[in-house]
Amino acid sequence: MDRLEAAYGKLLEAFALAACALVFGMTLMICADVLLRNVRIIPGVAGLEWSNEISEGALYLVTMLTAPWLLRRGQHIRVDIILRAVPNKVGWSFEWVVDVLGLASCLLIAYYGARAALASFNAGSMSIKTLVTPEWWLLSVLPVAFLALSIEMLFRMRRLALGERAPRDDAVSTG
Amino acid sequence: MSWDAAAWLMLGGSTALLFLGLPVAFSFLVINLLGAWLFLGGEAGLVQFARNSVGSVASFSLTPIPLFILMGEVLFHTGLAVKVIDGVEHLIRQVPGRLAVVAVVAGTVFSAISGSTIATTAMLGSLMLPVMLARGYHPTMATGPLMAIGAVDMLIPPSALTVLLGSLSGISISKLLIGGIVPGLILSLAFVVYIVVRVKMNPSLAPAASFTEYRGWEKFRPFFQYVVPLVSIFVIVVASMSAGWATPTESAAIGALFTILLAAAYRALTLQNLVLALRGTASISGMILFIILGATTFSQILSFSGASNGVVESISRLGLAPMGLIAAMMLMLIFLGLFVEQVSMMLITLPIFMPLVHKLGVDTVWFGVMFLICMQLGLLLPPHGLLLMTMKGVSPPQVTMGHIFRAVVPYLFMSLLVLALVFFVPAVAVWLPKALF
Amino acid sequence: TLRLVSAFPENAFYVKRTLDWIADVNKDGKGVLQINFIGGPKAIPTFEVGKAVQTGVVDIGFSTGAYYTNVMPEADILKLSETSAADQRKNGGFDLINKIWAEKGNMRYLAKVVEFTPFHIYLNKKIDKPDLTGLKIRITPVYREFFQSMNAQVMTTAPGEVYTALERGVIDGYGWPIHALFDLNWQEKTKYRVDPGFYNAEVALIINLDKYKSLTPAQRDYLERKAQAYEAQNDFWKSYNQQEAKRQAEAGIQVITFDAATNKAFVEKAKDVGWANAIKASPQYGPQLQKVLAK
Ligand code: NA
Ligand code: NA
Repeated sequence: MDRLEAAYGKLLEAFALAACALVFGMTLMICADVLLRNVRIIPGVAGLEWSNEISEGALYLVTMLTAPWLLRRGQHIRVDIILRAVPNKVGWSFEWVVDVLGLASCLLIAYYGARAALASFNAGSMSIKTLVTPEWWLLSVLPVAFLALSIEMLFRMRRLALGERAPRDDAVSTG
Repeated sequence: MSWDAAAWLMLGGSTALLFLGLPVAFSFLVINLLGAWLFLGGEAGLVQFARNSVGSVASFSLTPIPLFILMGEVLFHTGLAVKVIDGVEHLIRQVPGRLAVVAVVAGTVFSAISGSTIATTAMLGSLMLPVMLARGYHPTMATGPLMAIGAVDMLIPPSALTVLLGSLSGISISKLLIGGIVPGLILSLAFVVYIVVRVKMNPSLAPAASFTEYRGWEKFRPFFQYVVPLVSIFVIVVASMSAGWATPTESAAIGALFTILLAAAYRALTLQNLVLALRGTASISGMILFIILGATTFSQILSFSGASNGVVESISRLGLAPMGLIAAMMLMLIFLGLFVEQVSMMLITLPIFMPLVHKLGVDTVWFGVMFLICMQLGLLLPPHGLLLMTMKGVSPPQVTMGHIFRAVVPYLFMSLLVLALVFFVPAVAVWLPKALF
Repeated sequence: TLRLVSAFPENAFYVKRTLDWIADVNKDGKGVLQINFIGGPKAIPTFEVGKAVQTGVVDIGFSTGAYYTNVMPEADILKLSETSAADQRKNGGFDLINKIWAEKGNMRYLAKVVEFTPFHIYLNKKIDKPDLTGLKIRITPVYREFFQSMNAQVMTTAPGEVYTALERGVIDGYGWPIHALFDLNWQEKTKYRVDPGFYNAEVALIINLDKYKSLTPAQRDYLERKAQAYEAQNDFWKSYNQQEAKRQAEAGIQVITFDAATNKAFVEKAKDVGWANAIKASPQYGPQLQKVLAK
C-alpha cells in the first residue's frame, strides 16, 4: 500500500510538472502575441489571435493538474482556528468528518462532470469562439481531475488513520 | 425555499464547514453541490454546476495571477533578492534604526516585483532579521517593519490578490492595480518616519552600529546594477498597462519574461531554479484558482437562489447613509480579517458588497482600494494574521509570539490611518488611476 | 411560476424592456401564470443560458442565438434573417425554427423581441475601403468569419474589458449592433461607424419544451398571447435605432461609408460569408433556414 501511495504521488508530481510547463508556455505565448501585434517581425502575422483563448484553457488545466498534487502536500488552504482550539483527539475526529465530506463531494463532482462531458460529446456540441473546438475537450478534464482528487482523498484518510491522533498541519494561507 | 433560508444554508453552511477545518475550496464545493441540487433543480442542476465550474476558471481576467506570482518566485529563487537588499544597503546613510529603514526600502522594491506577500516577508525575514538581532535590535523593532512592509506588497503592483479582487468584483483590474500604488508608498514612507522617530526617542531599540560607508561609484554601483533594472520591470508592467500596449494579462506576461531574462543576464538563472520558481508558481496559483472554481459557482448559486438579492435588499432597506454603509462594510472586513485569510474574505463578502456598492453609486476603484487596505490589515491582525505566522516561522527562538504581536501594533495603526485617509480623501486612491487612464 | 434567466446583464436596456414585460405578464396573469425573474449572468453565465433552458435548470431564457451555439449551431443562423418575425410566422419559418429548436435544443422559440437592428463595424482608425487588414478587431462569434474575410485580426475580449481595450488601443474596433453602445459607454472611445450595417440582431425568449408541454392549455395560450404581443412591438426598434444613430452622431461618432457599388458588395459579402458558414455548420438545416430567412 505504501508503494502504491508513493507511486500515485509520483503521478501527481508529473501532473504538477505539466502545470509548470503550461505556465511557462503561457508566458512565452502571450509575450509572442504582444510582440507580433506591435512589431511586425513576421510578415502577415499580426499577433496570435488564439492566444487569449489558449491562456484561458491553460489556466483551467493548471487548476485541474495541480489540485490533487496540492491535496497530497496539504496545500489547499483552510481555517484551522477551531481545530487548534479543541483537544487533539477531537480535532482528529473533525478531520475525519471533513475528509468524508471532501471525498463525497469529489466523487459527486466527478460523476456529474462526466455526465456533463458525455452529454456534450453525444450532442456534438462545439465551442465557437476564436477557435472552434469540441466542448467536451475541456469538460472531460473536470471528472478526471476530481477522480484523481477522490483517490488522493482516500490516501489522505489512510495517512490520517495511521498518523498521530491530532489535526493535520495543513496550509492556512495563500500569500 | 425563502431567500433567508437559502442565505442561511449557503452562507452559514459554508462558514461552518470552513471553521470545521475543511479546506476553503472544498467548503464551497460541498455547499455548491447541495445548493445546485436544491436550487438549480436536482440532477440537471448538478450537471449545470459542473459545466459552470469549468467556465469559472477558464477566464481571461484571471490569467495575470500565475504570471505575477512567477515574477516574485523568479526573484527569490534566483537570489536576486539578496542583491536588492545589498543595493539599498549601500545607499542609506546613518539614520536611527538604519537596518529597519533598509528593510522597509528593500521591501518596497520587492513589492514592485513580487506578487506574493508571504514570499516578501519570508525573504526579508530570513535575510535581514538575523543581522538586526545580532546588532542588538529589540525583537519588536526587528520584526515589525518586516511584516508591515510585507503586507504592503499586496497594495503595490504586481499583486495576485488585487487581480483576484478585480476579477471577482468586476472592478477594473488595471485601475485597482494602479490605485494601490499611492497608498502603498504612503505606508512605506510612514513606516520609515515612524522607525526613525521611535529609535530617536529610544535608541536602545536599535543600537547604532558602524557600517562600511561606501564612497563615490561604489556607493551607487549595486543600486544601478541590480535595483534600477529590477524596478524598471515594475515600470514596464505599469507603463505597458497604462500606455495601451497591453492588457493586464499581457503586461504580467511581459513582466514575468523580463524578470526571467534579467535573472539570466545576471547569470543567476539555472534550469533548476527556474523549475523551482515554476513549481512555486503552479502551487500558489493552483491554490487560488481552485478556490475560485468553488467560489464563483457558489456566488452563482447564491444569486440563483435569490439569497443575494434578498440580503442586498434588506441591507439597503436599513436606510444607512452611503458613507455609513461603506464604513460598516470596512469594519466587517477588518473583523473577518481576524479569522479568515484574504481569498475567503473576498469570497464571503463580494457577492453581497458589490451589488450594494453599485446601488450606492460610489466610485468602485475607491471602494476596491479600501478593500485592499482592509485585506492588508488582515495580514497583520493578531492572532491569525498570516504574516505574523510567516514571521514566526523564519525567526530564531528568542523572538516570541508576544514580541511579534506587540511589534505589529504601531503598523496596524498606521494602516488604519491610511484607510481613514482614503475614506475621507478618495483622491489618494483614485487620483493616479484617473491621471494615467 | 416560470423561472426566467437573462443572458444579458440586469442593467442592459433589453433586460429593462423584458422586466416591464414580465411585470405585465404577472399583472394580467394572476391565478393563471406568473414569471419569476431569477437574474442575469451572475446567476447563470451568459454562455450557459441555452444549456440551462435545454436541461430545464431554468424554464425561460432571454438570449441571443450567438450565446447558445453550444446547444446547436443553428442558433447563430438567425442573425441572417432578412424576413421579419411576422413574415416568418406566415412563411413557415417560425415552424421550422421550432422544429429545429425542439429537436436539437429541447426548447420552444417563444418570440423574437429584438429585430430590425443591423450590426456595424465601429472603428478608431479610418478606412477608405471595406478592408480591415492590420486592424485589431474585437469580435463575438457573430462577426468572426465576416471580419476575417476582410483580413481583420480578430480578438475575443470580455465585454467588461472592451472599454479599456479601446482606450489603450489594444483593439482598433469592434462589431456591435446599431444600438446599445450607450449601455456600455463605448461611444466615449469610438470614432467611426462603418455604414452600411449588415445582418439583423436577434434576441428571443426561449422556453424549455417539457415545461412548455406541462402547462395547461389556458396557461400556454396566455403565455403565447403575451409573448406574441411583445414580438408585435418590434417596430419599436426601427424608430429606436434611428434615435440611437442620432445619439451616436451627437456623441461625435463619424460615419464611414463607401460608394454605392462598394456598399452593395459589402452587404452581399457579409451575407454570402454568413450563409456559406451557416450551411457548413448545419448541412441539414442551413439550406432550409435560408429559404425562409433570406430574401
Ligand atoms: Na474581465
Ligand atoms: Na506587489
